[in-house]
Amino acid sequence: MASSSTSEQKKKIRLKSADNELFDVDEDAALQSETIKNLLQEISGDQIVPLPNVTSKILAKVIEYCSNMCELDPIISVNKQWESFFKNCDQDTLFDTILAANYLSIKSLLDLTCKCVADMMKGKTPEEIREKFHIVNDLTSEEEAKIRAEISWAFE
Amino acid sequence: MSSPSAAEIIGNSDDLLTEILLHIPVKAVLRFKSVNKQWYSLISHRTFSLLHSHHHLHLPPSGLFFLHRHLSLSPQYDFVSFSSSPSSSSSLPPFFSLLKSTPFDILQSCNGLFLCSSPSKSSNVIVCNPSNTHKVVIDLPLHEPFLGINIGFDPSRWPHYWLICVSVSSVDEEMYSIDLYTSGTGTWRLGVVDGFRVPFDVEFDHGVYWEGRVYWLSHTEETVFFDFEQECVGSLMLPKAIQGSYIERFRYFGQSCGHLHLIEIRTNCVPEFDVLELDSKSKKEWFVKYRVDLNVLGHGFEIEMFLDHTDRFGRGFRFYAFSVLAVVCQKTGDDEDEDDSVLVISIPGKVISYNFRTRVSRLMCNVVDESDKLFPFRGYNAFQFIESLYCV
Repeated sequence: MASSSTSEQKKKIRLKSADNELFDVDEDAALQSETIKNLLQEISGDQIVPLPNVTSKILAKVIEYCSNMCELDPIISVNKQWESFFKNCDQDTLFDTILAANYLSIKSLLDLTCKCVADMMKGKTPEEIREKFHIVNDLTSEEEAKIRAEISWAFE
Repeated sequence: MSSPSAAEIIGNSDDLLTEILLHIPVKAVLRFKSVNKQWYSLISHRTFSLLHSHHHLHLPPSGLFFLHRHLSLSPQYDFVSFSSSPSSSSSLPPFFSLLKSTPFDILQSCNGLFLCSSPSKSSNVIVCNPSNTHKVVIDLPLHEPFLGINIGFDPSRWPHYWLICVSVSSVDEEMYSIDLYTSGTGTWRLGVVDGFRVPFDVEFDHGVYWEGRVYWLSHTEETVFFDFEQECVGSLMLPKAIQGSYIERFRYFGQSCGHLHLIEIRTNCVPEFDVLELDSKSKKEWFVKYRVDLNVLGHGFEIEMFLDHTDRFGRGFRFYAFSVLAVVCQKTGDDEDEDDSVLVISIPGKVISYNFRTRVSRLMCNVVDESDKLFPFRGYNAFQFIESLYCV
């Protein structure tokens, strides 16, 4: 029977984070990332895959997520656990994971993290949003007044 | 420190912002238009609005526009909101003031878009999205008169919307013809179906969009629909209980969140009625979705709704003063038993909603009402307002 005991024989992929930490990852977990899949086609099999845009802290989380996704547990319950993790983690981790998921092209992780940020944003005012994303308001006061008038009904 | 940069990168990236904002409801996204120039143009963009519409399908309405002065020459609409308890004027979309200032007739609302006409100008119609105040004027085909004009808008199927005009066929006076407009090309195709027959009393001026088709009611055993994809006309059998009678006083025919409902109430002294639904798989079978007991529904609104009367033989009657405005599907959770669908009805001086599951009615708003307690039934006169970012 093919069970988890065969995992030792599974092919491993070696990834290198931005801060030069090495991670040995099961191939099927690593292949959840379209970016890694493409990189593997470019380099020969045993080489290290460099991921200069992802820190070791975030990469560890991403690998954990990808490994979970390959496990036999129902995806829904795994997803629920990760959703609750991202809803409760600090904003930096969440934002960094979005960038990592985007760079690594892991669609399900990008969807999940974006949804968590969206939930966090729902009740916020435009001012709070600017603060959260470090955005400078470049609208003139006339423009802003015009837009506000247009959407005044959306401000309850 | 990586945090400011990650936040900044995301806040400046149209692609990532799109991924995030797609998950946010219409009203909140609209508020974010005033974050800065980039967010404004992203949220206003046609591509984003289409993606967002596609992401938020079968939304329950956030309010209803309803006609409250039936007898006056120019239509007058009121708005009742599902979110805030008594509707405050500040939370009304600007479409409402447009309705007040211009004598529009609302012909139909469909998944967020309103089809309107101006009583003074019959050569065109207006398609409007009240949420973002987008509107376009569309000229109708030159030949008149039209028996009905309808809109089909369904972002789960098409990126564009359709209009159809039904008129008497030029080939045969007893047959009908359909002209079809699509916003994709902005052109009319005349007579896409020409020379079809229907029961004599089909109400072409009141079409309901459902699952790729516009349906019209008739009082005979069958009624008709137009299918946008097949470009054909088909027939639908009406439930036995509803067939073959001209005595009924009121019908409700409408759709909510992908469910097509039909109610018939024959007189205003029958204490019960059924809400029928068309089976979405077969699209042929009607079934009883809810049964409504008016004595339960009217609990708390007895003074407005009930009129007890004893005739000269000493027999007692109870008349029920109400008019159905809409059946609105609402779900509080993913499970079937978390169905919080409501029946919205107007009673003299008030609009109330009745929850089918909890069997409790609550006041939605007070209205200035001229309706007669003994003659309360009115026609199709409520239009669901569904929030949408769609650019017409």
